[in-house]
Amino acid sequence: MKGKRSILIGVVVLVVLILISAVSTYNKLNVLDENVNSSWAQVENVLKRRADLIPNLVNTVKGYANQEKEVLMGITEARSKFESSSTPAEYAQANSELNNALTKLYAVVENYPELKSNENFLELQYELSGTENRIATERRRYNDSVKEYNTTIRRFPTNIFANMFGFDKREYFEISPQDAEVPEVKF
Amino acid sequence: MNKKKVGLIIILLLLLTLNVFAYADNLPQPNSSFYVFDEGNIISEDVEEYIINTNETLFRKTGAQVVVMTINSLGDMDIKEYANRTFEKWGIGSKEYDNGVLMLISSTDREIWVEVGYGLEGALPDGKVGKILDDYVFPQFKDENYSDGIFNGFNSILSEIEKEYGVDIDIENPTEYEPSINILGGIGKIFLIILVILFLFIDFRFFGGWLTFSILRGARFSGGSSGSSHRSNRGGGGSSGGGGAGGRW
Repeated sequence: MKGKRSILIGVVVLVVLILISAVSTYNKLNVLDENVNSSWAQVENVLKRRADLIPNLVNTVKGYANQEKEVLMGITEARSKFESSSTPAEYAQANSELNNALTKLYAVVENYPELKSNENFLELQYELSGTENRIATERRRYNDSVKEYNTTIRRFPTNIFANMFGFDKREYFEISPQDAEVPEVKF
Repeated sequence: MNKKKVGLIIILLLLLTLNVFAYADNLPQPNSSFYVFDEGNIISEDVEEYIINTNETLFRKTGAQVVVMTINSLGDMDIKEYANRTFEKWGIGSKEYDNGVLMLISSTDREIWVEVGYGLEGALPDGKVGKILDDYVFPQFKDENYSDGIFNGFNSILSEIEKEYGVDIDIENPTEYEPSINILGGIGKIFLIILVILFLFIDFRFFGGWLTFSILRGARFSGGSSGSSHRSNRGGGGSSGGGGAGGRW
């Protein structure tokens, strides 16, 4: 009788322990997951911010270099890609296309000294480079949060619960090395 | 007896991990004045004093902080990343409003970056910061008048913050803030040491050092302490997202 009872107590204790760790793991994973979401929202924010600066830039350039239609069209087109992006990979693609378009623009800007000394254009350059730095910063933070989340869900014994609750790996926001170099106007 | 030994070993290990955490990066530690870090030694004494005093008043009134840092060299780091990580490490500006600014100048690289905390992005948009640099800082820097350039740049940034919060930082009587700090000086310090010893004795005698360990553990998470000097300013815990402007001269 005594032996049976202690086995029973042992089983109950074990079940309770497993339940407690399941609940705490679930909560922890949710926190990490939410972290990834919120830092991605920040990345999206700054990417949009960059896209929002583009019409203003295009208008300023138009005032001085309206004949560069092709370059300007390229920029507007690249910008519209942002609207249809939703995953990190799509955003990375749109971002790199915009980089290419801007590099082309800055190459022709060299021919318009008046544009280069335009107050509005100068201010936009600062806004763009600040925004590019924001993207770099928020991207680094996002990737850090993804790394923390991904390593946690793969670690034993968390991975058992993660599988059970359906927590999947999250995607990094990767930019190719040449796109990490942002275009700049040479003054 | 054995318990004490284990306790000592644990304390040693904790101290070791603390050190590892503190020196994991090559970024400078805040000094006791917090607001001016002049490794490049290009800021004159009175400008330095002015920046510190102004900041103490500014922080008390608004929670905003404007830190000026000069370094000799960036090494192989990008100035923007250097600034952003230092900003994060020092926690410039208040935690609630993220209203800090970091002016980072690397004298041998001839490069400057002004990093603006999230909460001041409205008052100091990148374009405005860039214009401040173009109008007030670069012309002076080009003539090697670093102290003047920093003074002008600092004041322009300050006046934007003043406008944002509708305050007027009166630097005529900057001593207001001093007395409250001096309480811990002299006799107070000795008293504090006695208290700590008493606390450790009681804790290890009756609780086996449990309280001390919890505090040490807590300290590890909240992240280090500041230096001990007559001034002991520190960051309010603010953060930034890479906004700001900079350039070379």
